[in-house]
Amino acid sequence: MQNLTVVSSRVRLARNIEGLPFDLSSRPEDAQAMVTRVVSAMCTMPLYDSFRLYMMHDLQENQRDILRESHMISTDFQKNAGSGAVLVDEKDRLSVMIHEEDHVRILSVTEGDDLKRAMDQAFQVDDTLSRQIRFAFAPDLGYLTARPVNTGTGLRASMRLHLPMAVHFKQIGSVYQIAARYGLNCRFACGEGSEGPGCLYEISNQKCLGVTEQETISSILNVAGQLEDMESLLRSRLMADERLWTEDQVYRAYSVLRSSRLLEEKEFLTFWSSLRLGMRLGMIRPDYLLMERLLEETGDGHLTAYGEKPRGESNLSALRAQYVREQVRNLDAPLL
Amino acid sequence: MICEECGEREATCHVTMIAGGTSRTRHLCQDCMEKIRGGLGRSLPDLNLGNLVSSIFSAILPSELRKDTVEAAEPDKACSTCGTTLHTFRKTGCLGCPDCYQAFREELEPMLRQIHGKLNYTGRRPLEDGEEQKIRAEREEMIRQMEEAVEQEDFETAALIRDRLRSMAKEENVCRI
Ligand SMILES: [Zn+2]
Ligand SMILES: [Zn+2]
Repeated sequence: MQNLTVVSSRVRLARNIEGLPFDLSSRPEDAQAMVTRVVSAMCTMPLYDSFRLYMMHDLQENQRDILRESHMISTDFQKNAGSGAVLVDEKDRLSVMIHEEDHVRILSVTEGDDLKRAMDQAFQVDDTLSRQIRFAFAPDLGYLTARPVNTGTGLRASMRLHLPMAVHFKQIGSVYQIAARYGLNCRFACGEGSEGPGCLYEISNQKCLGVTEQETISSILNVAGQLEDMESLLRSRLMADERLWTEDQVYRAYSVLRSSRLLEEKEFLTFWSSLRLGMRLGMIRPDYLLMERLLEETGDGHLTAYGEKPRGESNLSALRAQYVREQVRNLDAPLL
Repeated sequence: MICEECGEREATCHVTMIAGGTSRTRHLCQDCMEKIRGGLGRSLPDLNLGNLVSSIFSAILPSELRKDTVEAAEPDKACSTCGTTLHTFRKTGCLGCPDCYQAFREELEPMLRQIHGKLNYTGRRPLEDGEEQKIRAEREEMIRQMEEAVEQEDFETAALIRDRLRSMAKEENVCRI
């Protein structure tokens, strides 16, 4: 059964090419040759034509924002891409960054809890590349990466979880604890600190040695399952003790998102969280795909593109409100 | 690597927290490290951490804190392939090239054990040469057939081949893990 506490799942694989320094920024010719090599290896992938190649220095700042908001490049890469390039398959939400911290970083995103599909997609790219390119690999240490934290599988698998009940009932400490018990990291996903609007948390593996990719995925699925159980219990408690208050919160959020004219990011996240909770409680007809998409598409980059004006001339709060109104309009009327 | 807490600054502190027999390593920047260490007594009860209150910071790895003690006593050495020195690695946390793993093996092992808990690799491996060529030839033939089908506007066959290519890729993953 689908775990609806999971908003989205992601996989990143780090790979390097044998016989070359990890950082090629002082050797532009080699760096350029590497881009060509990776791209031509990728050409052998079935359905390669759905990928688009971007040279990072050719992109405008807003285009980079959009790629980052869609999780197709990392924050680090957006800032220091240098002679880097990225291959992006927007439809399958799959990308290959060239010259990030490692020569190659494969990113794969899926909506919901389908971490296995994200993994399959990333492996498909990994296989395609490894048929053409010899990766730096040692039988006893696995894939050799620029930093020891990634040595081994080079895998960082993560899930973004919506935990409104853990936040409401002050159980975030237990969330961290459950994650830690399985050797996973847990962090608040929307800003600094351990709590904030959105109630979004990210769990991810930290170990890349002594565990297989499958074991890593299993422990993440396992922890996500336990957290859904916890949320579910707390949802029952909430409905037993605070039903009226909860309904008020949900329908207020529904109205605000449908009618506001100015919407700050933090405010949006707060109402987003209440609306999604309303879906889980059967008060609003569920559309979890839309909810996931809204998170990405209300980023500054996406909104600027939506407004069709340069960033400096854009009123992002107004654009956010307008965009959310348009999207939420299609949501069915409340069920109660 | 980027700090897990703020997601902005470089993580220079690697801290292992131990609670109830399990440990978790966190990678933080200096600022966030200070913040957490400073707020430890105050913030943990707020967070309802229960038995995590007994947490201790058991180890603080590389960079700043090790520099004085270790680096002064540690003789420098360099990777003969890329020229990266041990001191540079200690400072930046970045290795220079794959051969650095051999050159700094002795120093890397305790660090890898600290981060990952274990040192034995059990994950997937790059394709072997023979296997690689067989699969590649097979796949190329299928792609050729798919293109041919598209050319003849036989989209049904093309879609079938495409689906088979996809499931082949999936099966391969299953076998190889
Ligand atoms: Zn920080
Ligand atoms: Zn080296």
